[in-house]
Amino acid sequence: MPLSDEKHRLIYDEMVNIIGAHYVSDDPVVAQAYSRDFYAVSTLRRRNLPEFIVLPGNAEDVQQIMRLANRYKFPFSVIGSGFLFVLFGAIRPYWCIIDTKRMNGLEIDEKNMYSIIEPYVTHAQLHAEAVKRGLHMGIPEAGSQASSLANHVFQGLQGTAYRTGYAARNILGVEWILPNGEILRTGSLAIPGAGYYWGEGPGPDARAILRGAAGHLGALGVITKLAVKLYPWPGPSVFPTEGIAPDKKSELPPERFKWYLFTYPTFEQSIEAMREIGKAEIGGMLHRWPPVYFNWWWAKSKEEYWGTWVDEYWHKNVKNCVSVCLWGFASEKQVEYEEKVLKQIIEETGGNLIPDEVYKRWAPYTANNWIRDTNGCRMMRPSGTFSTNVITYDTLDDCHRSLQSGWEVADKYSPPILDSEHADWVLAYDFCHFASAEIDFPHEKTDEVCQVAVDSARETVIQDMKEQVVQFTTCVAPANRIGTTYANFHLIVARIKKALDPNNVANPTRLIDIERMEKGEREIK
Amino acid sequence: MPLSDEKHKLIYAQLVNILGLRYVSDDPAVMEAYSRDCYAASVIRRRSPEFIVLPESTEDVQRIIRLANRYEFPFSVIGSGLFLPLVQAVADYWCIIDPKRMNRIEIDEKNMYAVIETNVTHAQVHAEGMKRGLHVGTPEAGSQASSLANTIWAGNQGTGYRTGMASRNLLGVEWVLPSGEILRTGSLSVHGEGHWWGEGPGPDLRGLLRSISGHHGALGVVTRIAVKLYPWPGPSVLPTEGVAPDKKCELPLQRFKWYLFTYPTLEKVTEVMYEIGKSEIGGLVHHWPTIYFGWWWAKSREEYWDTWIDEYWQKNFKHCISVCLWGFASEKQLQYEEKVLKQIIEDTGGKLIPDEVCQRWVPYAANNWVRDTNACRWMRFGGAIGNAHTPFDSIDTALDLFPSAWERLDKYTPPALDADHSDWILPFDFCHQALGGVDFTFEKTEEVCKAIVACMGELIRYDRQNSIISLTSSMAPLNVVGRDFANVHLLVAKIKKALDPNNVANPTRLIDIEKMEKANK
Repeated sequence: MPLSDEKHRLIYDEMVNIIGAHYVSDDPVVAQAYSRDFYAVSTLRRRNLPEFIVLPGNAEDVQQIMRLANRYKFPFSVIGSGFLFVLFGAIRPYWCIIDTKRMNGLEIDEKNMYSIIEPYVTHAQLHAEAVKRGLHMGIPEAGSQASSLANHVFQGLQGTAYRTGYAARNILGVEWILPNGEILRTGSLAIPGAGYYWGEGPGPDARAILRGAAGHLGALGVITKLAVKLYPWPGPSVFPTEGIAPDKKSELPPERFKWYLFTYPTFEQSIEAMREIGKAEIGGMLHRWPPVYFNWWWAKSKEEYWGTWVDEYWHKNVKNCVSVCLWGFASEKQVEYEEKVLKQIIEETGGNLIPDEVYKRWAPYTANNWIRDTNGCRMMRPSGTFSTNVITYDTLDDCHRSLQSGWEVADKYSPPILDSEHADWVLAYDFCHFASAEIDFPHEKTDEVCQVAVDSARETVIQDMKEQVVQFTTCVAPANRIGTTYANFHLIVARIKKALDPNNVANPTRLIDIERMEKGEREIK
Repeated sequence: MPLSDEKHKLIYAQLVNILGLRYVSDDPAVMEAYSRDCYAASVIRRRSPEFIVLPESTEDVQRIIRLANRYEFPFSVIGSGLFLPLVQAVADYWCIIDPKRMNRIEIDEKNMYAVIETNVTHAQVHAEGMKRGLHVGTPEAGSQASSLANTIWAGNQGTGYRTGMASRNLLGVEWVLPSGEILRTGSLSVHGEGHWWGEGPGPDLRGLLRSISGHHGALGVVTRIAVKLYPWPGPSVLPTEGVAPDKKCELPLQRFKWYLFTYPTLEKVTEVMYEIGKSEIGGLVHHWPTIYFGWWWAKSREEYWDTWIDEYWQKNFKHCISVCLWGFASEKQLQYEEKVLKQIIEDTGGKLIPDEVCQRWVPYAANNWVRDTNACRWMRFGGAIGNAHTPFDSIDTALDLFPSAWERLDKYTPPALDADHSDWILPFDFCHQALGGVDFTFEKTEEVCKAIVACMGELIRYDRQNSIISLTSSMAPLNVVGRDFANVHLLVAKIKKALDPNNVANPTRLIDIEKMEKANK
């Protein structure tokens, strides 16, 4: 880290000129805090510190920082609330992390059901403001403390996805600083004074360059503001809770929200039941959680977690469990009607309601975390951290195939990977038009175990490439590495990257490693 | 048209080498058929292409595009032939790719999607979907339209309230870039993958081709897409009686029920639409202008104008909301939603349209918004149709913009024919978004068409001055309008140049690169 060289000092001074000394830091202690999170890869690579942390106050500040990066050719990346550091942590000298903490503006248009948010507005803030106005939006397993903006452009698998879809689908207008420092405003944001924010036009829909299964990781610029769709919320204007986490209870009015949890003898039967529910278009939420999730979301201590796990309490009671929350959008009678439809589906598909004792032990304390989550950020407690080796986005049909293949890889590395009893979370989107399947497992946060978790992820990517499966872990690999296996999409991504980022300063290597790609091409020639 | 010059002959010979003599034409009589449609601009600006080619496969399209790059001749692609002003010839050696032979369709019933080629019509997808308990939205343009083209271009479909703007339903895409490379997005990039999804790996490239009015083929030719289908609670064959225009279509009442009710003002109509959307009831919700009732109902020009002059529709259907309740899960769902709707009507002071008036219209015309067989007959009454504004925004914005559109249209009426200040509102996604349409009819003479084109020019100027984006201003070249809309043309120019270095894919339509660069110089 050339902290004391001329270029470093020059960049630092210019940054101070732009946003003031208070909001620029090159202090190694501060940089340390921006070097890792709980993921295995960032634990292993934590020695790479950024050289600068900047806290812009608005889009124009971001623009000036990016123009500076182009002038002095230093790399930068942007963070939301700090998740998945491995995708934007420093990997080169003069690295600058743009931390958007000060950009936390929030507006809501109640009538037209959308909000306008800056990068540092959390899901919790947005949700709390929305429910005051009879609206809500989806919140991910990552937790409500996550940046709502970031989660909408990156991996938006949200608790209410069955109704509200993949998060990226809800993006409307976008204010976006391109890597060369130009500001792009899409949709109605292109119109000064326009009241309503929509995403398309004029011209092609440029939002899709930035969203995808895993987004662009900041390699195509920095999103400084976006509008997101909100959905009708038939519940109270304040989210009801009692107690303090982890001993917190949240119960919504039963006449408007009713959870049903029921099990099947096999994985396949539970999937068929989900499909039937989707075709009937009933319910506000639909999940198939693995037993490990019941424990993760429920246990109030490490001891309680492992005590219950070893007793196999959840394995015995909630294996192959489908969870549905019926929402009375228009009235209480809607819940009553949908209840009849659901009961008929359960009966026809051979489902069994879980015992009342199990239901009461779990649902009041944890189920509504999937509406506004305060627990996801605590998933790493039972062991130190956790990892995910598969998240496929495909059909309900494909879930079993992808999970099976992920379990095989995970089994090879268990131990040191800890038991998760072949975790098999299935989240349905858009009334079951598509689904994500995810395998999570806990492990200890030592260098040695983290290396094993990374090896497991690497093997998953290699296996995906062999079988031509596209899933989240593969999607975050650089396009130049995997593109040849997937219709050479890296060639078009390279063109876009070069057109928008001629100096290759925006999070270089992460979305696509242009230098390595060009070097490879030269060597082939 | 340099039909006999060396370059023309060379291109023709090479096209024949690729497709065979039967599927290439430079016959002036054939070219004439590809020179105009019902729109005023194409009547005035009619120009024939030099070549028509009918590829059968993606590889055929790829070879044609590679040839276009080698010999530097322009090409465009059509779907079922609507909106020819955006694809007709504007330069020498122009080649129109007509995908008539590319009409394959597959349906995955369980996972609710269809894989379609370019010339599969909405009617075909709909009919095949229904056999499997599924359906797809069909647009006002009619079910004879290409389902692929309408999914990536101006997808304002009858069931938009439920199924959204059509491009939202786009999954995997197979796409020949203007350079001749084939791009497959989502699961299409994965050999042997059964399910078709659109995102990844990497950024979602579909966004380059879809938007309010798409890219008009200026970023390449989409040869195959997968499109989402939605549950259909009706019979496996759309029930019809009689022959169009005297055709009746009635769906089982226990699963589909139309309600038409009126309010004193348009403002009240929009408030009630929001209420219905927030309740998330219904399968279709529209506010149709009075002219639509006449257009969809009249079986002859005489009947249309007689009813119009008598003001039958104006008196009975002014400020009307039309809702079709669908019993997706059961008959009881419809019964439940009926109660919710009746309560909303009562609470908001709506008045149900008398049954005898409803019976005159609903059985004959309403279900066209499920599968339309009538829109292609619109132009009968005047000779052609025009559109004085189509913003895609909120319901609020539609309401706000109608007066300026009516004022503009009034200036051109006559020769534009009376449309009683038409005011179609089509909500999407449970009223999260809406289209506001001001349609009218006119005679298809050169003189009148010139007036209509002038009206469109005025509309684009109005949109630019007031920073409003509508279908019409979205179709104008971005180098002309881009500076009024956050300089979007600069970004599009970069993309266009990266994908189409020889500027052969429908040049000038999305963006006129040559004119832009000349102006920059």
